[in-house]
Amino acid sequence: MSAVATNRFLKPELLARLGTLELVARTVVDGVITGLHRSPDFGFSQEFAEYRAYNEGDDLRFVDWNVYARADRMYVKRFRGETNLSVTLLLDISASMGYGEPTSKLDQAKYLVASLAYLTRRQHDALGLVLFDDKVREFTVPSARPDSLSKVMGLLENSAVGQSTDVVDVLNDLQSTITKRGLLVLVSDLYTEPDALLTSLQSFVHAGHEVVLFHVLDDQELKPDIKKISSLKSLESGDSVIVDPEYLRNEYQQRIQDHCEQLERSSAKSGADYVRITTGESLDNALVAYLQFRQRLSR
Amino acid sequence: MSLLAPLYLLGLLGLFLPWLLHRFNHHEPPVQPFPSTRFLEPTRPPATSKRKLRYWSLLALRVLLLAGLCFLFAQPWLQSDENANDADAVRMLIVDNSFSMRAGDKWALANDAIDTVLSDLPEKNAVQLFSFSTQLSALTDITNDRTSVKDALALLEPGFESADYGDLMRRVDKLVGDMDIPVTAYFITDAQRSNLPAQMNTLLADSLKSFNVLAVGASDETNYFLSADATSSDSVTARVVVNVSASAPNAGTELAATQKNIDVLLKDQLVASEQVLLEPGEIKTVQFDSISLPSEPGELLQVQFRQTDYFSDDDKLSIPVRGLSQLEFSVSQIGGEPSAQAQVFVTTALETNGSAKVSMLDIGAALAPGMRHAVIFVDDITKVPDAVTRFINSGGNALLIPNRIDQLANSTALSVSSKAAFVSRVDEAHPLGLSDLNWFDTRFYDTGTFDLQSSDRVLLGLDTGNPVLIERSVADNGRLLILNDVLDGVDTDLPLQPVYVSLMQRIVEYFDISNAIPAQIEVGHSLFLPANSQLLSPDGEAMLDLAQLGSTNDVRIEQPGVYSVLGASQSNTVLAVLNPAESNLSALTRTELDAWEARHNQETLTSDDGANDTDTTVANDVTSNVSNALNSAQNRHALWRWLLPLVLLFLIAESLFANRMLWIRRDGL
Repeated sequence: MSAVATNRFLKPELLARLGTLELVARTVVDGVITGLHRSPDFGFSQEFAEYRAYNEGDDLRFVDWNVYARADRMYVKRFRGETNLSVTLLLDISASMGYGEPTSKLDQAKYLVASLAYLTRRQHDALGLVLFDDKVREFTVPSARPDSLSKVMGLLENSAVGQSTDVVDVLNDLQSTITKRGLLVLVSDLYTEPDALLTSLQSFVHAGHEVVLFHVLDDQELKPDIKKISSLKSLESGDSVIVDPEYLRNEYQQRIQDHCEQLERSSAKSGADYVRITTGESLDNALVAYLQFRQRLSR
Repeated sequence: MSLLAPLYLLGLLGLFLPWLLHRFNHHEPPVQPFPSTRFLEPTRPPATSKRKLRYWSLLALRVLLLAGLCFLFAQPWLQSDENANDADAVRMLIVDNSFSMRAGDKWALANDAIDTVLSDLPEKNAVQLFSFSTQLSALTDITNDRTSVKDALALLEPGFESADYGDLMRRVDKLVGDMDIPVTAYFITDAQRSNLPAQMNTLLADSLKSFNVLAVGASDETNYFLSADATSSDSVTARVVVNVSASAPNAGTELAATQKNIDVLLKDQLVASEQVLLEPGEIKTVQFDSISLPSEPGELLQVQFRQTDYFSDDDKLSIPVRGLSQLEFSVSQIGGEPSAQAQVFVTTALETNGSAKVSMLDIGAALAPGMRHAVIFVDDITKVPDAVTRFINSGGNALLIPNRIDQLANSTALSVSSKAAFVSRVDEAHPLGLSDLNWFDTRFYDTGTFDLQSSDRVLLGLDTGNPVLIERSVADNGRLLILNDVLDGVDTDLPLQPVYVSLMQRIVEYFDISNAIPAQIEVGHSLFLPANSQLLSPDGEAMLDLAQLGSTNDVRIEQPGVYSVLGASQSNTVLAVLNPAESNLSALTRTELDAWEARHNQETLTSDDGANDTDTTVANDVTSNVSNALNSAQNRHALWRWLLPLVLLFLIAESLFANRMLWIRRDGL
């Protein structure tokens, strides 16, 4: 945990100076606990999970003969599988993700996705990436091949902000594409209806996927520091709304806070994990939160 | 507080401009990108009210600035309390009762103006009423009794005389100069341009405390008027020369030409008629020849416009037919022979219009017996020959002219000068009327010095001091004029000048009217009557009583018409005519009158000079405006001295405040 403490000071603006996303990811991940995540499938790995009474039809190879010798009963050893987790990272590259100074939400999201990708490959899991706005722009099938990381990093490096966003549509489209159960990590500012999102997420959870939502926001988005009448122009639709600072100080902040809380509740209902990060926040916080979530899940 | 140019207050309408700007000033809010407008709602009303509230102070400053500018241009002034000290000042009301005041409703308006003046003046101000045309006449004493002033005014009517504003100011200045109390003069007139003097500096009366002109009755219509002269050489037919004039238009007025019919009537019967087209300000001469005269003499001709205009008093006149008789002049010499040029110049000038017939006498010949008029060339004009003296004593009239200078080279009486001299002195009172002639640019090169005697009267003098024309009294019966010029056109410039012929004609007339009865006289002037002469008015009434008949008389002619002079041996008719300047009703502009007033109120109104340079409208102070004119400019205090710094202060404050507003808007504070 000491490494985590060290990397708490890796602010996004500092990471931005590091150059490539891979270097960023390494810097972040190396400082974070290299916690293990476990496969939802029990397999044949070396880590013992539990004993179970032998039933007819069980493979005799898994009978613990030592226990039988001492207890005169037959038990089958069960092991926890640790390999070939399929991790699909879904990154929202819509226009609204371009908001934020000096680090945009997209930049922060890229750092996060790169770090997760690096972490995934470090554990030799299969890594896939989806870039989307209102539809899927890039999709790499999860793969455990060594070059999967560089491929993902390349896509991240070259990605730019797109158009409007429609997370729900994209998730619905991906349901038929991502068939292998695994971990889905959705990184987005989630300007969508929480109920619709809940429905989409539940589909994935019911299909056996684990889902983690990273809700990326900018500090100015949460608490706009605007002191005079301003015309706020949507980055996605281009619509302008003249807003009074008083409204932004009170009602708006309440609304977006409600939205976030509703998203969190919807995530909880659907069995997904919800992590909110802001552009001014260190990435290690997000990673630690994610890993804790994984550990909690494994118990 | 009053305003000199209240029209500038119309600029106050401009106050709506900043008000509108502040009201409709739609300040577009700055555009900022935002990820999504999903949770935003437009909230404009609170923002608008806040901005308007903040800019009220700037709006107030701008309104004050504009209002200050408008008042500055309107030239406000204050009447100081010095009026209280002005209580002793005499208000001199001078009403113009010249002939032009008979036109239209001018006289009624003048009466209204005086009534207003009297009612607006404080009771403590003493008033004296004057009338002015040819003379300045006091109609009342200095009094506080307004009723007596109004009574005197009621008895007054406009006459037929002419006015000269320069003459008025001279008389006023002299009158007020003899008074010890301050005098404020109000001149109620129709402000005729033709009444202005030739020299504008005579319009100043220094002794007045302040001077105000109340102009009434200016009209943009054109007044048409005429003058006429009828002569007959055979008493059977007459020649009538009519001068038809149209008054000059007022400044800024454009009027079209008008067709006028001129009729000549005899015994109310039309005997001749002519149609002329007259532009405003134009003068045309119409001549009617061979108008048959009736057998009985003394019948008057009537010349008139067929259609009268708004000033009908000058549209018709009656004239006598003047008989043409030639005066016989003899030209002779005593001493040396005169130059041929001089003789030609003299003969030609005398016979120019047929009024004289010249007989040349042989050299050395005596004055022709029976001749009453002579031009005599003499060697030394300072010494009148005895023959000439005897001639004058016998009732003759003579003009002495010196012979050539070279023949008088040794004379001590004359000195030759090559430097040109100009006429600088004219005897205006002499019947020759030399002041009416234009002596401008008439040069005299070799005029000799002349030793004046006690009986000599210099009628024309040069700037060198030398006399040119002298009248010497040598006898009671005839007249002797001495011309100090050789008239040869070589050593002198006089015979080559246009004025020369007029001079000689005047001399002919002077010799002709040895009984001093002119054929024509202008109304307002005095007619000199010899002893034992009676003057009959146009109505046939005797104007002199028996006590006056025994001596010579000067009778002031006050009405136009044909007067008759009955003498012991003969009778003459004198036509009294109107001054044509009075019929030219073109009026002065208010700006010109302001300038005239300002010359008397210069101390306190210096800053206002030329304030209304663009005001070319004719002066026409109606009664309602008379009160304004009554406020003595003497006590006016222009407020621009205080208003200008105030406006500058507003301007600076507005600039600072506007900059601050800009700064606030830029920084979003």
